[in-house]
Amino acid sequence: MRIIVCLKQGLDPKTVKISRSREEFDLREAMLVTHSEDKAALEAALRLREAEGGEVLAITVGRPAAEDSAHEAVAMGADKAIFVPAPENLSGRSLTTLILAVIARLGGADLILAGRAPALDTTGPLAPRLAAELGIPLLLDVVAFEASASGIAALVSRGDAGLRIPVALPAAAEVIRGVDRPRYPHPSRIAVAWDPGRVETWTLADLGIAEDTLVAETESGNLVLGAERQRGQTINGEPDAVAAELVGILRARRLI
Amino acid sequence: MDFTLPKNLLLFREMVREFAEQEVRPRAKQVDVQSWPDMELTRKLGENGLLGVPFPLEYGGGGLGELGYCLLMEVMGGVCTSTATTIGAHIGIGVMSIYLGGNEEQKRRYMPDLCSGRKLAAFCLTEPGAGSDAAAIKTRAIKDGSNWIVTGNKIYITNGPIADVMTVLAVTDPSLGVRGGVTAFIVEKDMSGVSVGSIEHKMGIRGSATSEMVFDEVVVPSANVLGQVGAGFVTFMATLDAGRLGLGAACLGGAQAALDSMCRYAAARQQFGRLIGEKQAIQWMVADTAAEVEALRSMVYRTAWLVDSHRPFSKEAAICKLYGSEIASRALNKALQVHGALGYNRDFPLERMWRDARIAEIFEGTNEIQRIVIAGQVLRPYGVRVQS
Repeated sequence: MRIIVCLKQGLDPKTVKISRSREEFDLREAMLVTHSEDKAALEAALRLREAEGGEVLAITVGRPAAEDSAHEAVAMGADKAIFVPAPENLSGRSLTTLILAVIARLGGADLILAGRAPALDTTGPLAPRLAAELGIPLLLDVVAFEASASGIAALVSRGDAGLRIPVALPAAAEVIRGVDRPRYPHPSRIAVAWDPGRVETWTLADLGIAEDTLVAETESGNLVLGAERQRGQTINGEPDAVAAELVGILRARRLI
Repeated sequence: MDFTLPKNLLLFREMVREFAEQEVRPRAKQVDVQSWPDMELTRKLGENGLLGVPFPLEYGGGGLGELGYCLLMEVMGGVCTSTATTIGAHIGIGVMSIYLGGNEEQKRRYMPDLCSGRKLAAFCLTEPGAGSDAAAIKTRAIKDGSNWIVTGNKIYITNGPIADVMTVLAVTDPSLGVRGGVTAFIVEKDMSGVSVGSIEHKMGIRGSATSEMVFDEVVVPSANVLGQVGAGFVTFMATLDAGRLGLGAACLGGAQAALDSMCRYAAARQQFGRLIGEKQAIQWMVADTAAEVEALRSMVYRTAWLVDSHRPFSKEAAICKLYGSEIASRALNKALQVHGALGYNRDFPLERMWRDARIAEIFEGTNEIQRIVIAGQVLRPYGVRVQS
């Protein structure tokens, strides 16, 4: 079985600050990381491979730094990764075109996985687009797959409960983070993840795509900021009045 | 000169940081309080490849060399010194002695299980009468057919109570002295006559296990002579050379954590209507610590590069251990001062880190021994012989 996982790089939310004075994101200390739900998709793929056999291939598209996600996928256990250098901020449609071209060049797949799109991502969901273009079934909110003699089933999250849904291959799935965190890259795989052949770089020309046919996403406007969060509050006055006001505030916030 | 870390080591450092935050930091206080390692954590360290980081892939290691090992120790040293000590005693001296002194068969027999954490290692050198003076060991090994009978007591053995495999130094021919008359053996805990003696109750690094190890007429097959008969002292001294660097890296982590902690507090604590970080008395402590941390990091990474590029590193590793342990103690002392009474409180991690740091000036060769090693190498070209 061949499982393809699409990986996207994004800014680590923990490293993004907001500059209120300039009404923009402060990205001076921002770090690019592999989107966490895409890592969950890779984890689901690796577990399915461990149960069922086959191969896991990762695809990542974008700026030069996105290649790091391809190597990280290999370090986590992907058999191989494909990196396609492409202009930044591609529209969802252009991204879909590119990934379909990669899948076609790979000779197709039994299962295509992508993580749920990050909050600030404007390209939109990828797995539904791929499923629609390929005319294959789509599963949403998948947290894991199970393999048994009767075939493959997807575990789909429904709040506190879950559903076990049989999967007719080929299929595409949008994966969300489940209870289990994605595995750490293993040192022995990190050691070889940058070795030649582990990550292949395919250019737009290799895929038969002209760069001028790709469309950028809509330009983002200025940030609209909500009220600044108060980091504390001083209550002055006589002790009894202060205590009463404090209790009132805590009650209003449902803290007591 | 290129000071950037290779991409794979950057990813490795991120992996270790994430692991440390998820798995190690939440247990750091608990292992100190219970005065014993968390064996579930040790299992996870092995499962995630963190107990064989520097060793070649062919022996089940991580293949990330000494620099990878130093990054691991730097991160762990900043989060939980006890865990860093458990790792250091396992990788830095326990497994390292088999890697440096063992023959091919021994490396293939022992290292995969040790690198994966299925087994843990300890390094048994110190004795009641032989600490800094390692050549004064009394543990004796006598040839008996195809076996050796090993008898003696080793003390202050980190990982002793939890180790499955130990390398043990013993006198095999008193007439030959340390070079030729001392042999190292690979001893397994299940061999008859091996027992754990008294457990040490330590001031710091309480979350690592330290004990006396008793070897009472232990029958050790000749196949378990580490390398050659008579080569034990040289192997053990070479192992300590390498181990010192990892210890220096752990000290770097501790010093950096002290600096981070004092900066965070200086930017939050107000006195006399101003942040204490705006006061020169605090700024000087921050600046001095930052300067020392920066110097130590350069030294540790450069020495790791010396090791990985097969250049001589004995003097530099001793400097990393000496300077690193003193910097870590100074940094934590200053951090504690910046935090005032809060730093002295057992609910706050600085108190534990301050206790933990002190041992680095003592174990794996006291700092006085490091000065002898360094002076010996610096003065040798001038024809001066440094005496112990």
